[in-house]
Amino acid sequence: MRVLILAASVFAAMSPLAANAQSGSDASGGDLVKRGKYLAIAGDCSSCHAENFSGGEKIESPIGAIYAPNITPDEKTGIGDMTEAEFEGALRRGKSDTWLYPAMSYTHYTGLTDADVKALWAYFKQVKPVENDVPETDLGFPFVRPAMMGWNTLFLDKGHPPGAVDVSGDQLQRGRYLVETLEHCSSCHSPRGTLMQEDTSKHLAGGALNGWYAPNLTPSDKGGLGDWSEADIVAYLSKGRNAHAVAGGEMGLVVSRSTSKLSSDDLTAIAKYLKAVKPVDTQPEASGPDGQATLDLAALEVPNGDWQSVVGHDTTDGATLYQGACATCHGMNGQGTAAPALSKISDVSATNAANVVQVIAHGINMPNDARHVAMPGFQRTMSDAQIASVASYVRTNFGGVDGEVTQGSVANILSGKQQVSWIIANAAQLAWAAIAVAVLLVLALIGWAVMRTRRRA
Amino acid sequence: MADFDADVIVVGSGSLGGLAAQQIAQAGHSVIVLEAGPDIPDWKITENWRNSPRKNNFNDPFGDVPYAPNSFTPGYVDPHLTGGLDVFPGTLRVLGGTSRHWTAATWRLLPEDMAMHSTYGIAEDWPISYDDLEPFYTQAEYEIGVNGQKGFDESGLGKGETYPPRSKPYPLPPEAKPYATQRLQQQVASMGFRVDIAPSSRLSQPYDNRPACIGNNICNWNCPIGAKHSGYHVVQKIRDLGVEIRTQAIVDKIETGDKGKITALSYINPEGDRTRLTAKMFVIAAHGYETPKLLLMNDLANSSDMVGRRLMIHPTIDMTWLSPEPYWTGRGQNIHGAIMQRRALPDRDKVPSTRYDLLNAPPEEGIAQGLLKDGTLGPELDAKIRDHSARVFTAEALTEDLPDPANRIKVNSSWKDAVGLPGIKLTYKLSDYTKANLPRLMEDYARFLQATGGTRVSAPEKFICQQHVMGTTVMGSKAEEAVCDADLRCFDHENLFLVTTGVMPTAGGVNPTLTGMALAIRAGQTIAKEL
Repeated sequence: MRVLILAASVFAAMSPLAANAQSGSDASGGDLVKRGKYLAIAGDCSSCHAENFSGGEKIESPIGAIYAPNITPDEKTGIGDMTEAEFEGALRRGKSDTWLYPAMSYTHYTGLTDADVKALWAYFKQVKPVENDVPETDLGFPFVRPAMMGWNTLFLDKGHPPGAVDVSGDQLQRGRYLVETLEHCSSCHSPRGTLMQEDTSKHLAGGALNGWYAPNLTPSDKGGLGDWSEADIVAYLSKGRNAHAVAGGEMGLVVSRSTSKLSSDDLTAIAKYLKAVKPVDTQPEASGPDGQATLDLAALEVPNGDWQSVVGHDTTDGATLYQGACATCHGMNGQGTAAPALSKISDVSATNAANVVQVIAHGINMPNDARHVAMPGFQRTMSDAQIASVASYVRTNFGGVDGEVTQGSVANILSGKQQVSWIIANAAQLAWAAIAVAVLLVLALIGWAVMRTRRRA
Repeated sequence: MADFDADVIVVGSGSLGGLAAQQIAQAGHSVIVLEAGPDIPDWKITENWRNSPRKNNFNDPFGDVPYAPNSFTPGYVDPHLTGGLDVFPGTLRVLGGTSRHWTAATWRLLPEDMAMHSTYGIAEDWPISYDDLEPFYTQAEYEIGVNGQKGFDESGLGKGETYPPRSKPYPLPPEAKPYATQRLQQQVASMGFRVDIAPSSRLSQPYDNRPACIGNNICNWNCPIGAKHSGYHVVQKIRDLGVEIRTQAIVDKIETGDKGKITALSYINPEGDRTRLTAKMFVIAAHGYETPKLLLMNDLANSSDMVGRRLMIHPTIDMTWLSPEPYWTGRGQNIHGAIMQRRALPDRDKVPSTRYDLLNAPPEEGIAQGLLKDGTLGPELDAKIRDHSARVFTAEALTEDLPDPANRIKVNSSWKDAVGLPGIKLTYKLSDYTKANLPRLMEDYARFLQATGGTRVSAPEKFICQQHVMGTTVMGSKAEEAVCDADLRCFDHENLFLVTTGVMPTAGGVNPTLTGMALAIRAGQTIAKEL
C-alpha cells in the first residue's frame, strides 16, 4: 500500500514544477536577496528559527523537544561554515552534514525550485550574524539521526511535497507552490500516520497540533472550508479574521509573521488552490446555532451576599462565568460587541472543542500590522473545571453543539500532548525487542547448525 | 539559600511591590511576596461590581474581608479631620493591591515638583532630581503601557515643547479626544484654557498581551477586559518569573538583629497560625497607610520620629454643571481630559499647584439621586435622567498640599480587626495654603460656566480628596529628618526598603502612582545589584 502511494506521488512529481522556476532566475544580487527575504517569509522560517533566525526555539514534538538551529551566518554557532550544497540538502533532502528531523519541513521544501534555493541562500548569507549556541536535540534511542535515512526512504518524495495535487495553469500552480512547498500548510492541517508521516489520503483535512485542532482546509461542505469564498480565505490570511473565524494560537502567529505579508496575487493563488484540492469530509460544524442563551438575569445578578461569597470564585456555573469573563466583549447573548459574535465563529460550532478551550485558556494575541487582535486568556484565573463550563456554555448556546466539555478533556487539551501511534509510543521497546529477536534468531541458527554438524558427526 | 527562606521578602502585592519584586526576580534572585488580602480574579470582580448596589464604593466588589479590612470597613480608619474636610483617601487589601480599582492616570512629576524649596522657597527638595528618576519613569511607562500626547507640555505654561523632558516617547499613541473634550476646548479656548489628554495606562492599542480599551467606562471600579493596568497583571508576570506569592498572609511582626538589621518577619493567616520567614533583604510595599502602621507597630525606622507624619492627600474641589447642549460624557475612559494651566504658576509659594480633571464616569447614579431628592418621580424621572446625563459635566480641581508633620497616621489600638490587629488613626487639617487656592478656583469655575452657558448642579464649596497617600514614610538626605534615603532604604535598617508613595517628600499636583512605580523599579534594581 505504502509503495503504491509512493509510486503515485512519484508519478505526480514528474508533472512540471518548472512553471514556478521562471521568477527570480534573472535576478541580480539585490533582487535575489529581496526575493529570498520574501521566500523566507512565505516559508515562515522564523516560526521555528526565531525572528532574527538565531534559532533555539524549542519545538515540542510528541517524541521530545527539537531545537531549531541558528541559521544566521555566524561562523561559530550558525551556518557561516555551511556550503550552498549543504544548504540545498537541508532544504530539499533533509540532510546537510547530518540528517535533519522532519520537524524541519524538508518534505515540503523539497519542492523548492533551484532559483528559489539560490535566492534563500543569498538572503540567509547576508542576514545579521547572531551568536547563539542552540542546545543539541536529543530524542533518545531509537530516534537517532541516521534512523531518518529509513524514514526518508519511506516518506521523502524528492521534488514533490506530500499530497500536492496536480493542477494546471500558472495561478493554480503558484497556489500549489505556496500551499504545499513554502507555507507547508499540510504539516499541521493533515492528520499523521503511524510513523508520523502526513496521511496523504486525508490531505489538508485537519490535524492535531499541541492541543490545538488545525482545521480541515479542503473545500468540503462537511467540516471543510466549503462555505468560505476565495475572498474569505484571502481576508483570513491577510487580516487574521473574516466572517467565519479569527486566527488564534499558532495560526495567529502564522498570519502575523507570514501570510499577512504575502502579495495579494499570492493570497488569491492560495485561495484558488485550496478550492481545487480534493474535498475530504470530516465532522461537520453544527448547523444552526440559535445563537441566543436563555438568560434569567434575575437569577444571574443576585445582589452580593456576605464577604465569603464576594471573595469566593470557585463557581462552575457556565452562565455566571461567561457573564463575568466574556460578556463584556462578546455580549450577554454572544451577539458580539467589540469582539466577534460567537455564533459566527467556526471554532465555536466545531465538533472538536480543542480550539475553543485553547482560546479561553490562552486568549489570542495576533500582532498583525493591519490590526492587532488581542483577547485575554483565563487559564491563570479559572480552573480546568471552570474553563470546561465556559466552553460547554459557549458551544451549547452559541455554537449549537451538543456535547459537554469535561474537566478531564480540558486538562488533556491544555497538556498539549499529542496522540501518537502505538509504534511510535513504544518505539524504544520495539526496537530493543527487534534486536533481541534478531540475536535469538542468530543464536538459534548457530545452535541448529551445531546440532546438525554433531548429528552428522 | 539554605540560610534564608528567600533572598528578598516583599510585603504587599500591589503594583509597586510587584514591580520591585519583578526587578529582583529578573536578576535571578528568589523572592517571596506576602499579601494580607485574598486572591479574587478580575472576572469575579466584574460580577461583584454588577451585583453590588453600592456602586459609589470602589471597594465593595472586593468584599469587606474581616482579616484584611479596608478603608470602607467601619472603624478601621478613625478620621480626625479639621478645616472643612470630611473624607479621607481609600485603600484596599487584595492580591494586586489598590490599583485593582484605580483610574490609571499616569502623570510624571515636573523637575520643579521635586525641587519645591529651591524653585519656590517652600517645603523642601527631594534627595534625588527629576533627571535621576527619568529613566525609571520611562521603564515604568513601557512596563505598564502608557498612552499620551506627543510633544505634550505637562506644565501648562505653554513652553511649546515636551515637558518634562523624556528619554523616550510614550509607548502608545493617545486616546482619541471624545466629543465632550473637543467641544469644551472650543468653548474655553478664548479664556486661555487648553483641554489636553491625560496620559493613562488604559491601552489605546493592544500591548503586552492586553487588549485595547473598548470604552466600558467603568475604569475606576475594575476594567473588565484588562485594558487598564492593574497590579494583578504584575502578579501574573512575577509568578511566571518564579516569585512565590502567598495570600492571606498578614504580616505583623518584624525582628531586628545586629545594628538594626532585619533578621526575619512573621505573618499570621486568618486562622491565626503563625509563619516566620528569613531573608537577606526586606521590602515593605504595603501602601501609604499600612507601611507606616507596620513600622509603628514594631517600633522600627523611626529615629527621626517621621514615620506616619507629613501625610498628604491632594485636596480636591469639584463642580458639576448642566449645559444647554449635550456633551455625551460617560463614554470611553473615566477621565480623559485635563486642563494644566494652573499646574506650575510662579506664585506657587502662596497658591497650590492645581490640575482640572474632566470627569467622564457614568453620571446616572448621581443624577438620579439628585432628582429623587427633589421629588421627581415616574416618567418625568426617566426623561430627566436621560436628558441630564447627556448634558452633565463634572470637573475636579486636584490641588497640591504641603507636608506638615501634624498631619499623620497612627496606630489605633482601641480598634481590632478579626485577627486582633489594630486600626489606623488619621489626623489631617486642611491648611491655609490649600484654602488660598479658593479665589482662583472659584474664578475658573465661574468662567467654565460662563463659557458653556451652564448652570451649577453642585457648587464647588467643599474640599474632598484623592485616593492618594503621600509623605507617611518620607525619603530624605538626613537620617534625623527622614525615614528612608533616596534608594528607599531605611536609615535605621540597612536591609529594609520602603516601596510606597508614602516616601514622596512633596506631593506635586498630579496623581502619584507612576512616580511610585518609577521609585519601585529603581529600588528593585538597587536591591538586585546588592544581593
